[in-house]
Amino acid sequence: MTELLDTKVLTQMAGDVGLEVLPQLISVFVDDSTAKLSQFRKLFDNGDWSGLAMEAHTLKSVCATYGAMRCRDEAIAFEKLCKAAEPDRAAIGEKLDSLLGTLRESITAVGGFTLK
Amino acid sequence: MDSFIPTVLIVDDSAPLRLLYSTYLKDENVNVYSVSSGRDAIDFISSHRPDVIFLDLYLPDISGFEVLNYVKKQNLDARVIMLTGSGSVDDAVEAMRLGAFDFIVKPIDSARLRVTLRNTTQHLKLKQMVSEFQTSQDVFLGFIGSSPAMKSVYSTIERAAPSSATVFITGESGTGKEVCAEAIHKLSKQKKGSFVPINCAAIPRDLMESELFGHVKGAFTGAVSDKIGAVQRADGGTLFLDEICELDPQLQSKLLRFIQTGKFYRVGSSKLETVSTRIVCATNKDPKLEVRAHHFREDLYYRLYVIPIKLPPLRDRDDDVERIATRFLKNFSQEENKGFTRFSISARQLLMAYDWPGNVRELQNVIHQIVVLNDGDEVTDEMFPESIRKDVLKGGDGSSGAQPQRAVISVGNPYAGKTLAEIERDAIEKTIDSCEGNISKAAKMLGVNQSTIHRKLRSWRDEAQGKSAGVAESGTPEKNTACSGGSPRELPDNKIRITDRHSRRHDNGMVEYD
Repeated sequence: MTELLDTKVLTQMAGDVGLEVLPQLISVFVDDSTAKLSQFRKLFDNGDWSGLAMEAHTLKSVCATYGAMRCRDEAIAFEKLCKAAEPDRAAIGEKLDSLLGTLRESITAVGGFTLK
Repeated sequence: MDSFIPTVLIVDDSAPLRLLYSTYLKDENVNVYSVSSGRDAIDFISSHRPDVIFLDLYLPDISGFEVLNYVKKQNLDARVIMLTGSGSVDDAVEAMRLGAFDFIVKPIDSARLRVTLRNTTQHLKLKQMVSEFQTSQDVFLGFIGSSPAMKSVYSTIERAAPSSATVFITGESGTGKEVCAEAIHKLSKQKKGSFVPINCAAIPRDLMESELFGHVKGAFTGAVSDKIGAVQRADGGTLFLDEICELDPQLQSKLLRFIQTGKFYRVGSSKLETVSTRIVCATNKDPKLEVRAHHFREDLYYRLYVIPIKLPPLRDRDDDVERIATRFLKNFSQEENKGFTRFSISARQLLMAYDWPGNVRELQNVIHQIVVLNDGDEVTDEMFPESIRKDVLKGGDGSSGAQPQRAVISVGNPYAGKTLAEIERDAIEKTIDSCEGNISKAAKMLGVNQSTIHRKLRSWRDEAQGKSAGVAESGTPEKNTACSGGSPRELPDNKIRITDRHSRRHDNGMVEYD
């Protein structure tokens, strides 16, 4: 299984933007991702598969950029599931639970990142 | 060039990514803005005209393709860089095909984003340099334009200016005859002297001699003191005699004497004075025809007509119309404190389709009017005066309003018994007729250069005049007003009557040409 957080990514980011700016970026990631948790659930309840695919597409880029690699992988798989010709609600629901669980863990991991 | 600070727009629906990309670019010499949706992007592009757009392909409302398409349709100079996930490279390639400048695959690191921005801004700067260079090439001593017709004029000016030979400028009203005269002065050996323009048509006949040569106190009623004339003010410089064909015949002989000797008398004086001045003159008429009509002395004509420069009408200057209009738009916008920066595609089509009978002066007035009466950053075709839009529509096919209609010639056998030359002439005349005398449109319809039509018209006119010459010689030449711009002369052996620049067909089948 892919590691939850690739700290090298955030370390590189810190080098690129500066240590003083990194907490602000992480804070925005945490707030935005937390808002996504309810957004995903709402789209699922509405059966909005294309909306879910769109959110998963965005999530995978954000996670990859902030080093949340496990969540990125799950978002890729979830996007495919939602884009299926005949989306399977049960399968999507099951995957969504897993994705949101990983996202919560990722939020905690990224939010708690400190440069060693 | 160093003052160029590009405006960068980041379009991405993810707040953490927008903030990160903006932060990556914070040390670059750019102004960075970001929006989260395609519609917001279009609003921003329309109001701020960014130079570089980092555009996510997948947006929540409309696709990145639509935003790209908007940029292309508006003919904007913005460089669009697509941001795409690793699984969407095919889409990015398609975006490149549609006109995107580059693409970056997510996740995007700082170095990649900065290098792409620097490459793009470098490209923009180079393009701006080329554009500035082209603009500098478009300008020649007060003239704007780089059409072949004008380049030929510039070349003649450059060759003629250093010589002391008299220059005779012809061209329709508004083509820039005085600009041409000043250009000659600026390049001449007399450039440190004064450039003195005098309009022979604007000054009453009685005052003209005094205006030209000056007078002494008491020379005539109202001559309360000595006055220096134009020739003396132009001593060591250039005397520009505009509308020379309007000069009174009596004065023509005095002018001839002055040109031959450089000597003159002030009105009321018996003292012969001498000056050294370069003579440049101009007319919007055909001086040869004026000579034939006995309005202009033949000896003066040959004395003045040493180096002729014919200024082309605006309709024969290709893309110069757009170049000049853009320059006027910029100047008037600045002057009137307005925000106009460009013409829409339809406005550009209108500029090119209209004939501009008043030439550059008319164009200048129209652009000034548009700038004063409208607001915005883009001039659209609706902002043009109704008369111009109607004129173009009349000559068009009714759809675009910009393309001339093809001539329709019936194909029964209307030419039976006619020679090929007669058929050709008939076709040309009918086409000109259908264009209401507009030679430029007629030429476009017939698929020939308008100079071809002018040449043929000239040959028919010469032919007609040759046939009628006997009448003029044995009859009453003073009634021969063929080139006076006044009442037209009917040439009995020809259908042509000569008036001003446009041609018209009359009920009796006669056609008037320029």
